[in-house]
Amino acid sequence: MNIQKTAASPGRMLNQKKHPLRLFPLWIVLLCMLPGVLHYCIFRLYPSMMTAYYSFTDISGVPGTTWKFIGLANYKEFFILQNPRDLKAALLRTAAYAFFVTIIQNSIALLLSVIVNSAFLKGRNFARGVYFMPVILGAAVVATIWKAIFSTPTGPIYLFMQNVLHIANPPAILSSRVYAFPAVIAAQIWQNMGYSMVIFIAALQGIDGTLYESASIDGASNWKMFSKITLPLIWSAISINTLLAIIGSLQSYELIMTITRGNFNTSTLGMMAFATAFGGGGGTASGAVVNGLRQGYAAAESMVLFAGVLVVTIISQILMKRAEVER
Amino acid sequence: MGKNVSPPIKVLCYILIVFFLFIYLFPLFYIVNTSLKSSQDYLLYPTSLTTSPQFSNFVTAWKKANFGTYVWNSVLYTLVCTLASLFMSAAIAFPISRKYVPASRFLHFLFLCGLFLPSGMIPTFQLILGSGLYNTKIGYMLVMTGVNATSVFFFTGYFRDIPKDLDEAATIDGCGYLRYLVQMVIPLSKPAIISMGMLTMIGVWNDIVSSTIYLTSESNYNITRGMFVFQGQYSNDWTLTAAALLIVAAPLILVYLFGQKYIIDGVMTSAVKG
Repeated sequence: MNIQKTAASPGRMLNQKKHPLRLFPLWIVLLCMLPGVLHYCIFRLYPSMMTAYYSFTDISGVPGTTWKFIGLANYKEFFILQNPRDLKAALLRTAAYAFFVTIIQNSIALLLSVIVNSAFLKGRNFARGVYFMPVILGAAVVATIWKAIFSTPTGPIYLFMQNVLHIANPPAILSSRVYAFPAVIAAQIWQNMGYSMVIFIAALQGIDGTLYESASIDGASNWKMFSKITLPLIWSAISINTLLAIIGSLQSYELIMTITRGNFNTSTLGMMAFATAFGGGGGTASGAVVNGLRQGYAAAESMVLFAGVLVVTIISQILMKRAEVER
Repeated sequence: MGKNVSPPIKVLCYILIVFFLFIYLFPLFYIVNTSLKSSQDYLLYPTSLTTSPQFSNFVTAWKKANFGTYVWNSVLYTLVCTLASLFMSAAIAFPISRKYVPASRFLHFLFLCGLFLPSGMIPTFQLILGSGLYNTKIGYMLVMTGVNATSVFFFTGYFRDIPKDLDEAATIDGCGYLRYLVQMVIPLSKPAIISMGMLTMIGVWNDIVSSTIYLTSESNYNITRGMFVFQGQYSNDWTLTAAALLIVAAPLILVYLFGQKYIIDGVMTSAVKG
């Protein structure tokens, strides 16, 4: 193996050197790449690294203010000086958000994708198209739809609670410290379920149909076929979807920002970092600079979130791998 | 599922599909219905079907929400950011797919990093603030444009399928690199370009976070932000809000109706590769 590699590499090197020079001049190829690479370095890599650096400073969003290096003070404030109840609530809420979104979104998506993918169903393309639609509508539109549906006292949910369930004083769901959070979770699932479903469908379509035929000749039940053929064969899609949902729900705050602005016990860590850095988010027409909030501390919150995402991602991948091996 | 599904299970499947269709379609129907009601009709019978559609709601919402300005901003942002992102991604992906540049592998790795690194929201803001581009159209478009890893990988895969002989033929005919890239490679990968183009367009059109952070003057607002602010101001007038919402969503729904295949293909492929 090693010998082959070393023997092959000089030839490959020569080939590589000869090829590009013969076809297009290297400088023009590089010149065309330059805008993209520069943009990527300036607006993706550099800010990413600098988040870590800023988390050790007291930089603010107000232009022209001086800032200095303050070591671990931001982290100390987050973990130690902060009211422990607030810290616990924020972390728990972030975990709950990710947990419920991941589990419910993927369960519904898996169920619907299996049904939508089955041969007997009529109108499957229509169903798939409808379920996917909120993905393209975006957070602001979905949030406004949600607000209309839950509005008091004319929204359909309110009327349903009042007239069908006969609840005397139905709560205003989106401004309730108890019900707003589940409603935001539901909005997140409603918006992104179609995305997970489409990934499941892609995996299901990759399964060789003859497997089911021979299994049914052997007299396997539908459930047997699902658990012994379908599940193992789409395991990588389940793994990808779990990962995407965990990362997506831990980091995303667009819906929280647009529906409740983080009020009524709905603020997760990502939303907190945004609100610390730029003010309440949402509808403040005056914008961020006027509020000029503590971006150094917000950077520290972002780093805590990043570390959390990293740990959860690694753990979930290990668990998914282990479950796959055990099958 | 196999072909021999028993009738009770079939019925159950249909019930589930219809139940979820209701959950997904009811909010949309409710919005369309509300947008066509007069506000009196809405306050008296919010959920009844509209009897005399008030199309004037759309005109009123358009004027009151100042969409006349915002829509052109959104069109500008969407076009510029999408075209720039597509060109930059393609110009990076093509040489990588052909190994025309040294260190293709390293570049590949570099873009892979972007998928995992923490978001750089705060330093990006400091950068824009420091360079005097805060609350300018240029600054906003710089932030919204992006070479993301998914489109680079997506294109790299596609460009590999273009025969290398074509590159040679082009150089023999004296076709310059840039012209070759724009007039041959990109048109030959139409499905990939359309998929990524649509996903980028939808993302830019829908943006609410960056427009909240970077745009403070109303003259710079995109239409999504305009709709959002309008909803805050007229929070009880749901007929106008619903009309404004549909105006913002209409281009998205149109793009979706005609390009559903490309959008879903884009999502499927990028998820499997990413």
